[in-house]
Amino acid sequence: MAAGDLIDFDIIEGQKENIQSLPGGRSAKKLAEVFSPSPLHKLATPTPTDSKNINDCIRAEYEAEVTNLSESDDPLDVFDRYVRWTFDAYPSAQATPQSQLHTLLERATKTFIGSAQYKNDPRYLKLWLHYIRFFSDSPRETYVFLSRHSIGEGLALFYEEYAAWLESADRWAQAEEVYKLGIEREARPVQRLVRKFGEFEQRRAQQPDAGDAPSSPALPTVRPALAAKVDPFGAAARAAADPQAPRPTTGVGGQSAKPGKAKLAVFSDASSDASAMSKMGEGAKGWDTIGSLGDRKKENVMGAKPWVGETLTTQVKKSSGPKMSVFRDPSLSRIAESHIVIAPSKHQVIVNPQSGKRERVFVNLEAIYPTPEEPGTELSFEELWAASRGWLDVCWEDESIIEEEIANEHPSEVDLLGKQVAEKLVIHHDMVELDENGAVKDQARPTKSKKKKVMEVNETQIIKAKLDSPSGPKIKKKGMANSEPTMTMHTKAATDDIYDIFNAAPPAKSSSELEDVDESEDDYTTDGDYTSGAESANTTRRVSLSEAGEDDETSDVKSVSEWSEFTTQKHVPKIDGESDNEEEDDDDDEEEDEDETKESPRTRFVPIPPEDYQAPTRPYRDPVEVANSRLPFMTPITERTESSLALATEAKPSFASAKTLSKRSSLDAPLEEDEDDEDDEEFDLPSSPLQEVFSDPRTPSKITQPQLKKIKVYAAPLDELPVAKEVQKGPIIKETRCNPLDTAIQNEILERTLPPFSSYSGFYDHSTERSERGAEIRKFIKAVAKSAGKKENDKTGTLQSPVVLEFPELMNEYTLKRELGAGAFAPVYLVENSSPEDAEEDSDGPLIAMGKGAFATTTRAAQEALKMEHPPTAWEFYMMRLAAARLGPQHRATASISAAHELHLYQDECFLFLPYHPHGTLLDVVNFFSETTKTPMEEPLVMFFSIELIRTVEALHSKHILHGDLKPDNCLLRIDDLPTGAGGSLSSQWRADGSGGWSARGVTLIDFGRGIDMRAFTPDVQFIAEWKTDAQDCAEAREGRPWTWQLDYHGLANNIHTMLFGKYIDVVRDTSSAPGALGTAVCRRYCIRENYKRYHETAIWKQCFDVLLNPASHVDAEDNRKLPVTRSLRRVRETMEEWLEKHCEKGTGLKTLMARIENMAKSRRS
Amino acid sequence: MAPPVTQFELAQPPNDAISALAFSPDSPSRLLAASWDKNVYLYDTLQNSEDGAHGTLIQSFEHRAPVLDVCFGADGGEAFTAGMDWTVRRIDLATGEQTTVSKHSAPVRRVVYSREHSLLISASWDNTLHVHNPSDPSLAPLAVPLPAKPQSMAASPSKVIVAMASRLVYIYDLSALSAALSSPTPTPPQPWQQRESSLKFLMRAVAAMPSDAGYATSSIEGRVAVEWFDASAESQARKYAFKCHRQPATDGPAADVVFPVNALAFHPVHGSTFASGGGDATVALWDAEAKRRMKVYQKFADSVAALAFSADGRYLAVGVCPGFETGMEDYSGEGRTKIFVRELGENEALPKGKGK
Repeated sequence: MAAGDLIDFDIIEGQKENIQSLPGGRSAKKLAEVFSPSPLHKLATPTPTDSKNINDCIRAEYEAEVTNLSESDDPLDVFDRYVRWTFDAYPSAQATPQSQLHTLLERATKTFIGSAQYKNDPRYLKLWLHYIRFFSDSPRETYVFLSRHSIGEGLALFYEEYAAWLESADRWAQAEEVYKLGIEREARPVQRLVRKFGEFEQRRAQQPDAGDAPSSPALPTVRPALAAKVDPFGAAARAAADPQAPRPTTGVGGQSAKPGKAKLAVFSDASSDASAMSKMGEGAKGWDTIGSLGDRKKENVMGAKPWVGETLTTQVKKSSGPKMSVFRDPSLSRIAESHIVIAPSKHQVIVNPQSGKRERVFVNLEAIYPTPEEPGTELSFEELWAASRGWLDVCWEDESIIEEEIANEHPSEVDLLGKQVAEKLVIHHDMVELDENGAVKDQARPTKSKKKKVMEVNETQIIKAKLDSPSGPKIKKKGMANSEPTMTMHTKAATDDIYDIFNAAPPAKSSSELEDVDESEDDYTTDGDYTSGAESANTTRRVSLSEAGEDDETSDVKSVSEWSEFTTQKHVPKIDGESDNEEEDDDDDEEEDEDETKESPRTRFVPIPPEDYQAPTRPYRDPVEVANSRLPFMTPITERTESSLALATEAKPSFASAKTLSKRSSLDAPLEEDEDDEDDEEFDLPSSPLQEVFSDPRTPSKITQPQLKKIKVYAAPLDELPVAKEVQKGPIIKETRCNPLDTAIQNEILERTLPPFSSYSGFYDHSTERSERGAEIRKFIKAVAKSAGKKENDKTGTLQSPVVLEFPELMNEYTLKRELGAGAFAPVYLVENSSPEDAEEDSDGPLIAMGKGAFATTTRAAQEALKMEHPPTAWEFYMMRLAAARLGPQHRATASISAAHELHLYQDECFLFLPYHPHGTLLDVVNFFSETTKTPMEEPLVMFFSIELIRTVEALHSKHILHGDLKPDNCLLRIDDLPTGAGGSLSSQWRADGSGGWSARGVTLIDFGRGIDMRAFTPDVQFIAEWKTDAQDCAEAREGRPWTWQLDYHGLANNIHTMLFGKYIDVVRDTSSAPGALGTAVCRRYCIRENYKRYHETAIWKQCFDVLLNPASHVDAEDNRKLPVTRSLRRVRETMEEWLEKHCEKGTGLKTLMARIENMAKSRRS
Repeated sequence: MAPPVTQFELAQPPNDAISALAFSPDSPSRLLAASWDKNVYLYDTLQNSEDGAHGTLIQSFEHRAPVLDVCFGADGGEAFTAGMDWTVRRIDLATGEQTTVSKHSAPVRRVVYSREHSLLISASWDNTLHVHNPSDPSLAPLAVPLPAKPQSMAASPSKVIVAMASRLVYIYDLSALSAALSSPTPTPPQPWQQRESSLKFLMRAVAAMPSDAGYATSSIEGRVAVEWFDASAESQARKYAFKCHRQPATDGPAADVVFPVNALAFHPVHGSTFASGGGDATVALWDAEAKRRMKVYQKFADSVAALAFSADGRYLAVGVCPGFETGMEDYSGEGRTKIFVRELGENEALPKGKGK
């Protein structure tokens, strides 16, 4: 007895799920053989599949035997062994197709159906039983089939199995019938059958009730009509003839009875004619064969048929899932994982949770994290700086190509140098090429936007080098057609060169010819015609004279000197061309009037409409009012100028025939007092030929490009790639004298600023589209105003549906509420922002506590102001952003400057969203005091606001930004939330550093529409006012003298004066000082007309006004002896601060005064 | 006693902000400075001119655009530059000849050379690394895609660390890069490790320990983190971050102003010592192992933009220029850009408790 004979049951146990149970059980040994490691195969855990090859061999042997079945004495034996082998070889026989048990059994059983020899052979019966057990889908039918064929008729096994099956199906009665039939037929072994029947009887007795069990005969020969019941659709005759037909067959009948309409597609055996069943004919009883399993399931198999004429139904499956799975960049998800949202407003100032100490992040997080929510978008300093210098826009791909070209051409050029010199034609070529040069550049990068100036400049110069190449022109020609406006280097040297050329070439024709060429080339800026420059230059001079004459007797001298200054400049010979070019931009209307203009320069002397000019000043000096020292006139001042503007524009069309006249008058009395420079486009451009003369260098591309290039060609070394840096660093506007509010100048600055203006966050450029919401908005506002006037209560009831502004880029929407400030050209509305930033008050507390308040102004609130300037302009937005960017988030002054949230610029309208400052203006405060106390503001309060204003202006000036429109209406009261550290109330002691909560009080400057970026101009620039000046304009502007920073100083003085005296400033010449220096601007001194009160801090105020009104005389204290006089201003402020720190608690006390203002502001709000 | 510590300012500094400094691997006096004025300057720091000015400008190499980084190549005779003009260039310092090694599709931010593997790696804002073998120019550079914009990069003897936007740090194995480059079908290898910065804010600089043990990163928000390559939990537990380069606010209410840490450099000899330079115009020496500050140098006039130790560890070059974090539009480093070279005392950079 070898140990190996022992059966390792572990093996079987491990594989038992793979073993099909057999009724007779299995040989453990054989199983173990199958599953135990075969000596042939070294595999540790063989599976039956490992023995596949062996099995295949054995199977082949069996198959051979089967084919020789007819020769066999006992053919059943072959199958019997074959089947048993299959069971042994494939323990999981039924489950696996490898075993082929299914076909084998079918073959075996079918072979001997008609064989009398095996009818009662238990082996045959057992094959059938295997078949029934494993594969028959309707055992009962099969049993009936067997009984019909008398298979196992004499075997007890048949009856036992059948009865057992019936019993398992709860067909007790039928099972009993079967047993009884078996016993009746004396099936062998009868004893066992009887015993089994006895057991059955017992089981049945235990069964509570089998009443509902089918009582039909188990062997339905006795019920031939059963089929009729089963198959209601079946053809009656056929059903009657073949009552026992298997179901698939009856299905055939179904097809004919009910064609097509059935909801359930009933299988119809298309090949039924050819089927074995049908072949049997009507005469067949239906039990000739039970059919193979495949036969019975043939509805599950789609038969092959020709494709011709078939329609493939493409059923669209409506999936419930997402329609399209959005592609997710795995790398992006990687980014997203590590991404932390750094919200600038939350992280710029962090409060250390442990120490409670505040930490200010030096870096401007808003710049670093422009879109904090978007992973991977943060920018390094280098990127920011590179962007601001324009390097990121540079496409070096092209550059290198061009460079290569140059390099390639260079040697040949050298070779040809002698030839070139010899050939006169070459020079001519050069001329032509120069013209085309720009075109080539365009061709190289036709999609480049104008913004990428840097690039263009670069290329311009690069191509210059190319110009020498004789092969150049052919390529370049192509670009001619689509030439774009191009930027060109206009260094001073270059422009001087141009002027030299023009000076040298006396005939004006040549220049005009050039003009023509340029115009044809330059389809961008050329859209109109213009007055004769020379003439208009003339007229302007007169204008200045006349204006000055009204104001000041000495101005004659002044303007003459100015003129002489003007003539000494090289610009003169160019006046014609230059001014022409300038005015190209301006006005189409001009065209018709050209002749008129020329002929009637005198119309300029038409007196200024008195209502414009006199209206504002007269009430101020009204003796009655002055005597009362009350300020009733203060109340209606707001937006005065705008209404006058409106008048002027409305009047304009009526001048149809005398257009020039109207224009003239508008020139003389510039309208856009309050308004933005945009209006200039309409009115004032022609007014200043002088300025245009000076402004010519900024349009060299239009005029003198060829010459410029020609000159440059030889100057530029080939290997040097001049980059825009020089240009960038320098000011954008080269004119030394211009109107800074000129639309053309502003546009140029906007276009050439770096980083490109279009890249500003919050700027949405739709300038090619029209918005056309204005009418709707105005209508709505009118309705609101009307209903508000009627009745406060039913306002909502009578309102039309509120106007909701949506913009394509933004999720949030703005609901228009009411008008905040009316104005013909820039109405301001209150809007409700649908998605304000959820600034958690608690956590943000400390931020505001910083006193910078910058974050309070940059976060979005539920209520915001919408300014709709007309004509649309991006200037104000740009200036506000510029100011904020230059000051940085840390700067205290940032809190005193209104932030610009977003700008949507359309062709016809623009929407500028600003924070809403609900507390009223400085003017309101002044009026409040004059109404309640009948006196001007208390001095400490004036001091407080003056310090705040001076500090803010100082900061702006130090960043080279001029506000340009400082007036009480543009100073909004700032009442921020008090810092938590302040204990909920202001400290009674004021401190210059803003502690004690005082940093949360002050003003916010708005309306940067007339802001000037001094950095965009040359340091020695001088501005010329082209609007009608009044007492609120600085002396220089009023007298027609050029000015720069004086504008803001005067505005500041006006603000302080208004607060101190309760009336607008009036300036007089100070005759007491500088007696011997009459006639020179520098030595002229101004002071305020008003007398200081005896209780006033006369020394401080005198010093203050002296600096503000005579800044030029204080330049000595400055570093480079030039304006701005920031240092003197700071000294004034420090004196004031010192005084206020000492005196803030005296008298009423600054804190009490501030509380009064706060109450006023609150009541105003409600 | 240690010899007197000296610090001197180099004559003829760049005209605009400094982007990078690099000492020659084989000479303690040859210093390269890359500048936004489009030049790379080569100095001899120890050769004083007749008029008493320290250091001599040997040569400057002009580029088409600002140079964002510079490093020495295999020896002191060649240098590689990363340019705003998208190119990586090789400069033969002897002849001044410039050749373009590879071209990205965006400005190249950093370039490092690994002498151990003779590999040149450049990181560009086009979100790729380019791996080159400068000794075999026939091989096309291998482009390795990155998930975000690289902001800094440093190489240790066996690894290269790429610090990217979105706080990602990828560490590549240099030998894997080398193998991928020389394989016939170059496929960019996966990073050896992918990490997340321990710093919350954008990373500003990264420096690798010469001991090949780890690296330090700094952020725009006054913090430096020290981490170890070893991925074991034990080693990772050793990583730490600390605050630095903060100054009390001079104006307004009491608060600390947190400056960016612009530059980091490990001492080549005392491998655990590293220097950090911040926007607060100070340079500090730290001991990475002992986690302590060793020294803070006197404030410079302007923000510290770049740092470099000489190969022998005796000199520390400090590039100083006004920071361009804010107010970039009117920025000019002209006149305020300076390079200081500090001669370190014998034990100045020696971690405490090691020498004596």
